Amino acid sequence: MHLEFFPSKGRPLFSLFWDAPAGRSVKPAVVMCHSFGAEHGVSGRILSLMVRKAADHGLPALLYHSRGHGDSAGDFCDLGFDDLVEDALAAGDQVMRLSGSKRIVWIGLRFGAMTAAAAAARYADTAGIALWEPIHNGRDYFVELIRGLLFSATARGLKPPISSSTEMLAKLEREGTADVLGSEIHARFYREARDLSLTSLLQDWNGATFVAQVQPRVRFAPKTAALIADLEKRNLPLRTLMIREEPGWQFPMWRQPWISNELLDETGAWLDGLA
Amino acid sequence: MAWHETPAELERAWAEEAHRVPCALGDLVAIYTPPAPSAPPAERCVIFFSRPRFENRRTLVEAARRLATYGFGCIRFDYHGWGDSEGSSGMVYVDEPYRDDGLAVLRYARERLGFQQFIVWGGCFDARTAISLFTEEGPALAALGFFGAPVTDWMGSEAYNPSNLVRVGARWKTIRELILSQRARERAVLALRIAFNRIIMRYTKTPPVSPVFLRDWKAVVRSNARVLFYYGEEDEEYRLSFKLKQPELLDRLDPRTRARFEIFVVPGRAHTVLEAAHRERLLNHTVEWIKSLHPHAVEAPRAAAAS
Repeated sequence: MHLEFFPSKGRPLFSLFWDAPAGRSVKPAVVMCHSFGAEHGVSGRILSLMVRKAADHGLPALLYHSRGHGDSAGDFCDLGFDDLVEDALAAGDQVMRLSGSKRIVWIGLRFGAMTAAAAAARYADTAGIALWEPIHNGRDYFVELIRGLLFSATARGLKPPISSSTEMLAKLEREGTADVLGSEIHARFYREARDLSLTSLLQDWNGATFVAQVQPRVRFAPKTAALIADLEKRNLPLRTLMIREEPGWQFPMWRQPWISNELLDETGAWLDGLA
Repeated sequence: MAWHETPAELERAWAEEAHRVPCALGDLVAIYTPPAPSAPPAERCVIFFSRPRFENRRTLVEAARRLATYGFGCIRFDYHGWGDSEGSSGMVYVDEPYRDDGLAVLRYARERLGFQQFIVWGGCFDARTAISLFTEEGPALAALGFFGAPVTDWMGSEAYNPSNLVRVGARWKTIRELILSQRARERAVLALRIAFNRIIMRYTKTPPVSPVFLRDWKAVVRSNARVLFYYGEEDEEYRLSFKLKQPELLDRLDPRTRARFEIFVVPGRAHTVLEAAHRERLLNHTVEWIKSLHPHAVEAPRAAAAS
């Protein structure tokens, strides 16, 4: 395990790197892209375990914290989507420097799937993309966060601070910031992210892809099913997985961090195919 | 208000070091923020206890960098099985603090970073872990920040009341989750257990002080550490636990010892991560309180940097 802060746009970003057991490698290297805001803390454990798992499978791997997230520097309130992508690409440079690899596999969780897809689109030597419980479009993501706020207030017997997601989004536009479950959403990020579409970000992608849904459902959710259908049309190597769990991405996991050995093992097996 | 890094805080961010702390249950990942060379040295290291180490809203990252500009060294770390640390993840309970992890970090900071005096700070389970260090390291601990933690047995959130359980349990989504998800079933068992504890509490005059807390409390009383208890007056951990036991714990102390203990209760709730304003109020109070423990008078580099 190698811990290091590396620069991106003049600010230090935290990184954790695991090299493959054989040392410097010509296999692709893995970069883990985390989700947005407080979800980063909630889901950080499984990303860290995936870095180890990838190294066990012979692929050097790195996780990093984007600016304004975790142990990195940077103002969360000034963050834009392009900043996340820029940091992902800087993490790609970092993992290549540390591992000697020339190709990258991007693994993105939740909003990190958007970041991974956008980074892959800008990076010539992408070997594969894994999308873990991906967010399909920006606006749905913000609405989901706000519904979590309403649900949480109701569960505690409190009157919700707003009556609908529409009202909260209007407040965000008007005031430039909104407190959603203790994590503020700021106008710049909202404006840059609300119209993002994962399908659009992946429109030119034609490589190995892994899609994992993490929801307590017996089938793929309609948007995930549509994404899979779209990818299947391209005849690209595709692997899919359903994890029937509800981690509660927006709510801090006080008692135990969420992990899924099935998700780790299946992603590891997919990485074997890429190596 | 959103955090805008000052140049002094950015400088502290550049100075941060990631460390791998050996521990019996797996190496722990810790971030050390060195004190600013330009500030009068506090000669004290603040150890923040949190899950994950940076706290979901990064309040502890801000606290560490702000305090470092005033001359404090600061460490935040992941427990075993959490964040980036090694070890397997298990359920945490307030009466089973991760003392070995905390001790490993403190001793590492003593041996590798040269600190002799420490300030420990945590909330809820993390507060109970912070206080658990006193039984072994009392003389080295200058202060304890104890935020929002219960001190009695049978503590549980009021959100787990029978009407909420029936309402949530009757939803099709919940039933589907219970059928499909092992984690949902574990959460349901926990919710029922907490609801059961609340029923017991209703028919019990006063719940007993937790024996684990009592052991650690006695060690704190024996030490010379200053202690801050921070609660919201609507917190269950205050109304149903600390407030009930305050006379038993504090009123019997001799005046000199009692003077080391400060109780700060804010209106409304403090033990919630769901409202940004509460987190900011807690952060500012924490930073100001720790600054007051600085052995030398300090200027305000944050204000100076801004000007």
